[in-house]
Amino acid sequence: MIEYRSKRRSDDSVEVRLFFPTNETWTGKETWPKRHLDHLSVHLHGVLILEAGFGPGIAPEPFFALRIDDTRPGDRLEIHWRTNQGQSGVLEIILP
Amino acid sequence: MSPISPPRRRFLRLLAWCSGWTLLPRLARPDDDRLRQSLEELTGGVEPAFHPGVGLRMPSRAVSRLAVPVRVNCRLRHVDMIALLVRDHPDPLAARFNLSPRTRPYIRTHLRILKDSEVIAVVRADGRYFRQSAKISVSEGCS
Repeated sequence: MIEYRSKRRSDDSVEVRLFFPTNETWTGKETWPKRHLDHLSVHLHGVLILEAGFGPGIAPEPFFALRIDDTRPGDRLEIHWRTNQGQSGVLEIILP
Repeated sequence: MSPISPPRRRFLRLLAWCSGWTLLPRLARPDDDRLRQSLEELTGGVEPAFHPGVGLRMPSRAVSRLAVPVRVNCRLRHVDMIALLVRDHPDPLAARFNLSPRTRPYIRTHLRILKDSEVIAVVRADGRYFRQSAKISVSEGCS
């Protein structure tokens, strides 16, 4: 489950914030995570606008914010994600 | 006080030169090798130049080592790649973003940094590579 927030800014760009909460408890003493977010892609109307790859250095509960230009209210944004252990998901956002 | 005689001076110079050659490789950390290797894989062997247009913003002291907020905001044109590397990580490349022209060269994310280190942002703009770095202390923060 991804939590998100999207907001149209005064310069007409849209800032999208994504947060990937996990139910795991982190003590900070783990040396290196077994599971981490591996791949993320963002599509606007089916067109790839951002692709990201991650290593184990990403936070255990990843957070991202990106800004998109040339959008209109009601545009459809699709976010595809995958972990290094094969879990994946899709989130659809209607832009403000 | 008598001046150092030339043979002695030559000997001291030779000693300093030899000790430098033997000690320096031992002082070089394996973390630096990993970082250099990751940078080479990222840029294809091109050395990224420092550029003030690459804005890397992060706290100098982290509140949590598991989620250190990092923001990259570039003032360069035609940016199509932003990468974040952490010097002391076993796998230094923490994140890499490929951007399209519709996406602004602006990224915010959280990194996991377990010990005092340096975060390096590498940006590709117009086919050229630029970098910016910032040091962070996590030793005083919470887990």
